[in-house]
Amino acid sequence: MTAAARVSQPSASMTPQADQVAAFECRSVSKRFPGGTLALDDVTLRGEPGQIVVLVGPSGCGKTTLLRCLAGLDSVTAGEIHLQGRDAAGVQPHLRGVAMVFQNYALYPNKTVAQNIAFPLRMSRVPRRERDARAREMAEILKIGHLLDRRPRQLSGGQKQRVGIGRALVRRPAIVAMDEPLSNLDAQLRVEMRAEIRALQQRLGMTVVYVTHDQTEALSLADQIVVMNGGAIEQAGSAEEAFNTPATPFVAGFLGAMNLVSATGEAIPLPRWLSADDRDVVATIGVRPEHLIAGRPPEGRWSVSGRVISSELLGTERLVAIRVGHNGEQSLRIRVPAELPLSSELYVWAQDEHLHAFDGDGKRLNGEGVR
Amino acid sequence: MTARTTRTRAAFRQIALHVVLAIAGILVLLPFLVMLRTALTPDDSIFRGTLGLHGLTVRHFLDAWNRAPWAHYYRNGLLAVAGIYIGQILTCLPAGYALARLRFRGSGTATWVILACLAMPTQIIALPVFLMISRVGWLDTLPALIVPFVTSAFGIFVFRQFILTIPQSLFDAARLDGVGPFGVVWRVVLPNVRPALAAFGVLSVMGHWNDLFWPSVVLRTQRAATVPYGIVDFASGEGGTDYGTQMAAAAIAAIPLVIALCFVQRQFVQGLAPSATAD
Amino acid sequence: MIGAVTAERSKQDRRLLRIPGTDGVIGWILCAPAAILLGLFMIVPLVAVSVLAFFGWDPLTQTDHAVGFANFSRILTSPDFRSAVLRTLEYTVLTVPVTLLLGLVIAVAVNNVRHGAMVWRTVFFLPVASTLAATSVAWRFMFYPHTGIIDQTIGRVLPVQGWLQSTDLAIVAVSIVGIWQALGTTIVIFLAGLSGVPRHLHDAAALDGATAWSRFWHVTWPALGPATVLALVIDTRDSLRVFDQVQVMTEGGPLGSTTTLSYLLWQRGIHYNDLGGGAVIDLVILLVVFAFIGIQLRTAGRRLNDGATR
Repeated sequence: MTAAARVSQPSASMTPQADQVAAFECRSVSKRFPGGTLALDDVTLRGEPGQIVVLVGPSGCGKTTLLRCLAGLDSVTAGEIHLQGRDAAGVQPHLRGVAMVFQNYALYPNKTVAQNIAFPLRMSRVPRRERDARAREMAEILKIGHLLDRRPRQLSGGQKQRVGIGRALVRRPAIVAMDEPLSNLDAQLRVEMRAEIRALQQRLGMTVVYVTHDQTEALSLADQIVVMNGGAIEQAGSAEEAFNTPATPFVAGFLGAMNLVSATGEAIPLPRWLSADDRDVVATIGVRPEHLIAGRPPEGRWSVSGRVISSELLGTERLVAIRVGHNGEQSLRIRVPAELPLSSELYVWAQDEHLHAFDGDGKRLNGEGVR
Repeated sequence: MTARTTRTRAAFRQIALHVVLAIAGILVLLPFLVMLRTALTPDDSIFRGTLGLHGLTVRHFLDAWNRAPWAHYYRNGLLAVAGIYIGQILTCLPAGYALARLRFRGSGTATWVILACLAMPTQIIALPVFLMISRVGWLDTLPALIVPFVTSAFGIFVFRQFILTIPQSLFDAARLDGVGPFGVVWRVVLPNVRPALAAFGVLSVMGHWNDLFWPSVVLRTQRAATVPYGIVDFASGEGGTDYGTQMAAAAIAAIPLVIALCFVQRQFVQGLAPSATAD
Repeated sequence: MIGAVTAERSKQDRRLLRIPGTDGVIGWILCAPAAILLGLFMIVPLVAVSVLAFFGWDPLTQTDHAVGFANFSRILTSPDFRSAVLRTLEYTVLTVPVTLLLGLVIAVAVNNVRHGAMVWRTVFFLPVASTLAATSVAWRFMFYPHTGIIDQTIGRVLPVQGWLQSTDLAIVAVSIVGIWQALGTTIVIFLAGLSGVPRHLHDAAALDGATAWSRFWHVTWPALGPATVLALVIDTRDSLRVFDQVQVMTEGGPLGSTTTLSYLLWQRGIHYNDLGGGAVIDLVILLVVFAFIGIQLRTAGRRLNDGATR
C-alpha cells in the first residue's frame, strides 16, 4: 500500500461538523527538548478537514515544533496526536499523510524540477509513467511546467518554492505543513504566493497547517488562527474572532499591535461597561491605535490626555505616541490624520465598544451586554 | 593627491607584488627546472653550469623508462590510491553523517576520539600494524598498502563538518518523502558533499600516491612497489652517477601528479576549507 | 574547528528524544565500519606500542619475551637516540618558523594581486603535489659537491660547500627541502584564513587613514588567528615525521647527523627489526607530539579563539 493510497481525500468543507473526523487533533501535547526547554506546553488543538490552520507567534513560541511533531519529525514528550482519527504515535513521517513545505525550499540540488516533484512518488514505488504524469500535472498547476528540466540553482526563489509546494502536494497528502514558506521571498511576491496558496488549497481541498510569524499573513490566510506564546496556545479561533475579541493581552498586542495600558491608578479611566466585580480585578486596558480619536471627548466617553513624545508620518496618517498615566510612565500610540495640527498636549478618546479589558491573569473581561 | 597618482601607485604596487612572487616562485620551481634541464641535456654538457638548454635529448627518459618497471609502479600506485579512496568514502561518509546529524549514545565521545586520532602521525602506529600485516602474510602486497588506510579520522572529520552545513530541512524533506535512514546517506548526503569529496579526494590521493614511509615499512621487493618506492630504489641502486637518467626518472615519478593537480586545482584550491589541509 | 560538538545531555532527555528504533541503532550501524577499522589500525596499535616496548625478540630461541624496562634503558641511554632528539629539535626549529613566515608573506602577496592569483597558488602548491621522494632526488643532485648548482652559486659566495657531506650542513639541506615542501600547504591555510578577513573592516581602516602596514597589523593579523594556529600545528606535526628527503638525500648520515626520531624509528624498528627498541622511540615521539600540541594550544589557543569567527 502506498503512502498516497492510505490517505483518504478530505472534503473541502469549510464548516466543521461535530460528527466529522478531525484532520488532525493534538491532545495535551507537550514537548521537552534535551537541555530542558519546554517547547510545547499542554497543547490541545483540532484542525478540521479543508481548513487553513495558521500557527502564529514570535520566534521560539513553539509553532514550528508543533508542526514538526505533527509531521513526525520530532516526537512528543507527552500527549497524543491523532491524524484522520488514528493515533499517530510511532508512525513514520512518510506514512502519516503529512507533507511539508520548508522556508528554505529543501530541494534536492542534484535533481531536476521534474525529479524533485516526482521523488516522493518514486520513494513509494509509484510506476514511472504514472509519477511522470503526476509530476507534470502538478507542475502545470503551479505554473512551472516550462521549468521541468531545470535544476534548483537555476530557479528564482519564487520558482523554487513552487517546486517545494509541488513536491509536497504530489503525494496528495491529507495535510500539508508549511513552515514559513514565504519568508524568504520579497514582499510583493509574498502577497501573490499567498493568494495562490489559498486558491490551490481550495482547489485541492487539503488541510493546511501554516506556520508564520507575520500577523498580516496569518490574518489573511487563516480559517483558524492559533496564536502561540511560550509553547502554549493563547487563542485559537477564526481570524475575526482573534482580532476583534483577543482572549489575552498577548494576542491583542501581537495581532494589530493594540495599545495596552495598566488600569491600576487614577489616571486611566475604566470602560463604563465593566461590571462591579470586574472593576475589582481589571488589570489591563487595551485599545487599538486606529480606534483612538484625537480631540475633546463627548461627555461620558473613555478618554485620556498626555504629552506628545513622538510623531511619525505614515503617509496620509501620522502615528503619534503620547505619555499617559500617573507619572507619565505609560504610552499610547494613536493614528491621526496627517494634516491635523499637533499641540504638545493631546486629548484622545474611544468608543466603548473599542475598548478591551483583561484581568491580572491575562483573561479577557467582557462586561455585561454592552458588547 | 590626484586620482592619477593614486592609480599609478596602485599599479606600481601590483608590479612589486608580482616581482616578489616571481622571485619566490622561481626559487620554488628551481628543483623542477634543474630536474628537467638535466634530464633533457646530454651527459657531456650537464655540468656546464648553465640553465640554458642546448642539444636537447630524450635519451635519458628512454633509458630511465627502460631500466625500471614504471608501468608496474603506476599501476600499483593507482590501485592503492583508488582502493584507499573508495574505502574511505564508504566508511567515512556514513560515519560523518551519523556524527553530524544523528543523536546516539557515544556520538559526542566518538567525535573527540576522532579529533585525537587526527593528531597522530602514521609513524606511531607503524610498528604494531607492521606486525599485524606480517602475521596475516600481507607483507609485500597491495592490501598492506591499502587496508590500514581504508578509514580516515581526517575524512570523517571533514565530512562531518561539511554535512553540518547542509540545511536540516533537506534531511526532514527526505524523511517525509520516504527516504529510509540508510538511503539518506547516498540520496541526500552524497549528492550534497561533492565539493568535500573532491577536496578530500585530492588530499587523500596525493598523500598516498606520494607516500614513501608506509611502502618502506611493509614492502620488501618490487612486487607491490609504488612510484616513490620505485624512485628511491632507482636512485639508490643502479642510478649511480648517471645524473641525466636519474633526473629523467625523478621527472617520470613526479610529473604525473603535477599534471593531475593542474587539472583539478580549481575546485581544490578554491573549495578547500581551512580544516581540510590537515593531512 | 571543533564546531558543534554536542553538549552533554541527561539520560532521560536522550530517551525522550528518540523515535523508537531509529537514531540509536542506526547511528552505530553507520559508524561501525569506520569504528572497527579505526580501532584496528589506530586505537589497538596505540595500545600495542606500549606493550611492544616491554618485549624483546630473542634471535636464539626465536621467541618474543618480556624484558621489562630493558628496551627503555637500552634506547634512552644510547647516543643514537640522544642525537636523534637533538636533530629532531634542530629540524623543527629550522623549518617551522621559516615556513610560517614565508607562507604568510607569500599568502598575503597572492591575496593582494589583482590578476594571476590562481597561477601563483598553483606554482607554490606544486612541491606538495609532486612526489617528495622524486624531487628529493633532484635536490640531492643540486646539493652535489662542487658541481651541483648550490655549490656553484652559494658555494662561490659563502664558504659553505658539500652540504650533504657535512655533519653541520646536511640537516640544514634537509630542512631547506622540508620548508620548500611544507610551504604550499601553509600558504593554502593562510589564504583560506585571509578569505575570511572581513572586507568592510579593511575599508573602514583605510577610511580611518591607516597605512597598509597598520591595516595588516590591526585587521588582517588578528583575523588570521585560527589559520596561524592550524598552520603551526600542522607544520610542527609534519616536522616530527620527516622521512622522505632524509631517506633519499642522506640516509640519516653523515654520521647520523640527519637521523631524526622518525627516521631512527624506521631504522631501528623496521630496517634492523628491533621492534622493542622501535616501540620505545614510538612512545617518545608520541610524548613529543602531545607536548608540542599541548604547548601550542596553550600559548596559541587564545589566538585560536580570538579570531574564531568563521
